[in-house]
Amino acid sequence: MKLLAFVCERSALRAAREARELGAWPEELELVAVPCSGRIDVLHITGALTRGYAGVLVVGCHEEACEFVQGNLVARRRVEYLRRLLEQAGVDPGRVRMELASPAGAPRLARAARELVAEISCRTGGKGEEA
Amino acid sequence: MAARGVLVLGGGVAGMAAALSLAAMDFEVTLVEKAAVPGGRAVGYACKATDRCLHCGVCLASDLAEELAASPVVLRTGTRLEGLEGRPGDFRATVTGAELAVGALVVATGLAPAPAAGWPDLGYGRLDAVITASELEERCRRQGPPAARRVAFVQCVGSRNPAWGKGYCSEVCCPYALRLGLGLVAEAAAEVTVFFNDLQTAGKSMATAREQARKGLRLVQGVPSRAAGVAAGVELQFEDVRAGGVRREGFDLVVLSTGIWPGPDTAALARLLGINTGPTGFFAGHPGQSWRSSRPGIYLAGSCQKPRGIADSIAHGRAAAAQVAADLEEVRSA
Amino acid sequence: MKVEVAVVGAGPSGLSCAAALVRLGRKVAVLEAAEATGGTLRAAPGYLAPAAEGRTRLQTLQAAAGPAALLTGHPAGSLSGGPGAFRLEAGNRRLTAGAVVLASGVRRRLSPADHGLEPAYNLLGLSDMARLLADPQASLGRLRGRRVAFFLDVSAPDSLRQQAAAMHLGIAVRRQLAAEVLWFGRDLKVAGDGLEARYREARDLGVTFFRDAGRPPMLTATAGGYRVWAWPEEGGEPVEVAIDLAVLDEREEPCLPQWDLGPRRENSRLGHRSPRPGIFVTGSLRADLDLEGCLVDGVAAAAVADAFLRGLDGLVRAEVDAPRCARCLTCVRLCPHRAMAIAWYREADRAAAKVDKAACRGCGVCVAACPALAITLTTCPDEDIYRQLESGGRTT
Repeated sequence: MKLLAFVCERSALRAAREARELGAWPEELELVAVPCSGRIDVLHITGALTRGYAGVLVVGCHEEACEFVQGNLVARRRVEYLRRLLEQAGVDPGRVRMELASPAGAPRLARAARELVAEISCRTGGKGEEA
Repeated sequence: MAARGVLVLGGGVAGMAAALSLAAMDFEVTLVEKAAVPGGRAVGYACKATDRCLHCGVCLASDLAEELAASPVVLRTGTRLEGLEGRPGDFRATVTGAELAVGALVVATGLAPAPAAGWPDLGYGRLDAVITASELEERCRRQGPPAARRVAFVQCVGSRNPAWGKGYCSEVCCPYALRLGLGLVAEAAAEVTVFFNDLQTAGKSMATAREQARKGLRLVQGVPSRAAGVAAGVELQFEDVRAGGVRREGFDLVVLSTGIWPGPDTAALARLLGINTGPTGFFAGHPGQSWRSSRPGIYLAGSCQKPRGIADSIAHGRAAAAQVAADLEEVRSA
Repeated sequence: MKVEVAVVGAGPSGLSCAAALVRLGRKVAVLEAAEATGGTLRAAPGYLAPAAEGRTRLQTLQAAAGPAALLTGHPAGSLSGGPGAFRLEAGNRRLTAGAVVLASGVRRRLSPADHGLEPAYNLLGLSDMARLLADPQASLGRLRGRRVAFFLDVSAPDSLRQQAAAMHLGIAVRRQLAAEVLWFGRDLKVAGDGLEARYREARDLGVTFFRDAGRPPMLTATAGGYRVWAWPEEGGEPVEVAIDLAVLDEREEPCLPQWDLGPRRENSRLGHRSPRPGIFVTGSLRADLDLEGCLVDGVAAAAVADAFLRGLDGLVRAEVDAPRCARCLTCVRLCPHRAMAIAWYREADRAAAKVDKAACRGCGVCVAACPALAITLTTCPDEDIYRQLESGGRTT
C-alpha cells in the first residue's frame, strides 16, 4: 500500500522532512512538493488515486500563516468539494484528507500522517498499522 | 572592496534577517555563527497553533533559515569573532581561522535565558517535574507536548526585579507561556494554570491567544515562592493576590518562564568591539536609533540590545541592515 | 510626480521609513492628510514618550526625512496600476510610485458610553489629555491638588500603546500639575521600551494603581467630578474613590485608504508586506507598537521596500495561454496578490487574462482554478507534479 501527501514547500515539506529525520514519518506516505497547497487541484488528487495511491493527504499552512495569504483556504475548499464528489461517485471520501501544518510542527503532522495511514490500511484491509 | 562587505555576528533570527536584507541590497555578507548550524534559538522552538494560528512567529525562523541557505550570504559556522581593527568602511575582522575586510559589523548575538537554577526555591534542578520554558519548547518541537495533566507556568523568573539588576519586563514570556499553555490544552488535554505578576497580553499578534487563554487557561495573579516535591508531582506555594491568602496546590509539571538576560558573551564582546552596554547589561543602542551602537560602523540587531520577540527581532535586524546600507553608500561616495 | 516610494502618513513610523529610504538614496514622497508632519508626535508629544523626548525625536525625524517630498494636506486618494508603477492620487497631485508604504496609523476616538458615561467637560480621552498638557494656553493649573484618574482596558482592551501613554501622561500630570493620580485597568502593561522603569517612577511619585479582577470600575458623575467603585479583589468589597477628572482610553480604528489591499486578515508570514506585492504596511497600522517600536518598524519597512524594488525584474512565474483563456475572471477574482487582470494580447488579437509579473508570487492558486487550463506555473508546471507522482514522490 502506498499513500501520497501533497505538501506545501513553506510548511509541510519542512515539517515532514523533520518528522522523517526523527523517525516519526510513516514510510508508506510519499511526498510531492508544491509551492503552495493552493496549487493542488482536484485533478492532481484524482490523478494520484488513479495511479494507485490508496490515500491522499493535502497539507497546507495553518490558517493565517499562508505565505500566499489564502492558498491554504482555497485548497481546503477544493478538498472538501472533491470529498463530496467522491462520495457521490461511490468512492470512500476518507481516502482524501486535508491537514494544516507548520514548519515547526513536525510531531503534529506526523501524528496526523500516521493516523491517515492507519485508518486507510484498516479500511482497505492493507497490511495493517505501521505506526 | 571592504565597503561592500558586511560581517553579521550571530545567526539567530535578527542576524539572519539583517544578513538577508543586506544581501538583497547587493552587499557581500558573511554571517558568523558560533554554533554548528545557523538559526539561533527560534529554529528549535515549536509551532503553537491550536485549532488556529496563534501568531507565535516560529515559522518565520524556519522561513529565514531556508532563505539563508539559498542566498549568497557566506556562512561560517562554529566561528567566533576574535578581533576587530580599522574604521567604518574599512574594518579588518579576525574570525576563527580567517581575516575579513568589511565595511561594517552587525552584532546580533542574542540573549541568554535567565538561569533557572538561580531560584533554588522553585525547584529547578532539584525536582524532575520542574523544567524551563525553553526545555518545553524543544520537547514540543521534537516529540509534541508531554503527557502531564496539571501544568503550571511560573512567570517573571529572572524578570522585573531591580534587585537582580533586571528591572525590566522580558516582554516575550507571557506571550510564549500563554501560547504554550494553549498548545498543551489543545493537544494533550492538560489543565493549565499561569501564575503571573501582570499579564502582558498586548499586541495584535496576541489577539487570538489572548481570547483563547482567557477561556481555556486558569490565570492566577501571584507568583509562587516555593516548590516542594510530593508523591504526586510538585506542590507550589503562592500568594493569590486577587482572591487573597497563601495557598498550596499540586501540579504534575511546572514550567518556569525564564526571562531574557543579555547573552553570555555580551560583556566580553563589548570590550572587544569598544561598544557600550546599558544599565541592564544589553548593548546600548543610540537613542531613537536603537540599531546603532555607540561606535560608528558597528550596529545592533535583535535581543542583544533589549528583549525582543521573534517578529520584533526580525524587524530590528532589517532596520540595522537599512542603516548599514545607507552608511556604507555614504562612505563609498565620500 | 514620479517617485520610487510613496509613504502614506507622516507620523513617527512614516517619517522614520521615509528618512531611511532617503538615506538609501531612494526618491520618496510622503503623503500626509494633516497640515503638518509628525502625527501623534506633533499633536501630542507627551503621548508616545515623555514630552521632551517626543519633541527631540520629532525634530530628528523631520530633519532626516527633509529631503523627501513632503506633501502635507494631501490625503491619499485612489490607487491604480501595479508594482513598479502604482498610480496614486493625493489631493490635487498625481504620483507614480514603484512601491507604496502605508504608515497611516490609527484614528483614536473617545467613547464615554463604553464606560457608561455621557460626554462631559471633566471627561477626557488620553490624546485630549496629551494635547492639553502640551498646550501652554490650557489652564490646567486648577488641577493642582485635585484627583485625576486614568481608566484603561475598556474602550481599547490590551493596548500597549495606550497603557504606555497613560504612564507617560500620569507622570506628567503628577509632576507638572501636582495632582493626585490614580490608574485603573485590568492588566498593567510593562512590556515596552523602558516601560517598567516608567511604572516604577510613577509608583515612586505616588501614583496609585488599581488592577481590577476582571470587573471594570464603575463611574457615576457627581457635582464637579466622579465617584468610582473598583473591585481589586475577586468577589471582594469595592474600593470607593472620588475624583475630579477622568481620563479614558480611546477606541482605535485603522486609517486605511479605500484601496483593494487583497484579502484582509491577520497573517504571521507577511510581516511588513500586505497581500498586494509592492504595498507595505508599517507602524501602528501593523502592530500595537510603542515609539521605539514605530521607529524600528519604519526603518525595517524601508529595508523591505528597498529590497522589493531591486527585485522587480524577477522571474516570470505564471503565464496565460491567451487563445485558451475563457475570460471567466476566476483567476482575477481568486488571485490573493491582485496580479491578474484582463488585457489585450496583440499577437492573439483578443483580450485574455494577463499576469502582472511584478505582482505574481507564484502560488499557483489561479493555475489550479482555471477551468480552461489556460494558465501555466513555470516554476511548478503540471508535468512536474505528475512526474513526482509517477516516480513515487520525493525522498528528501
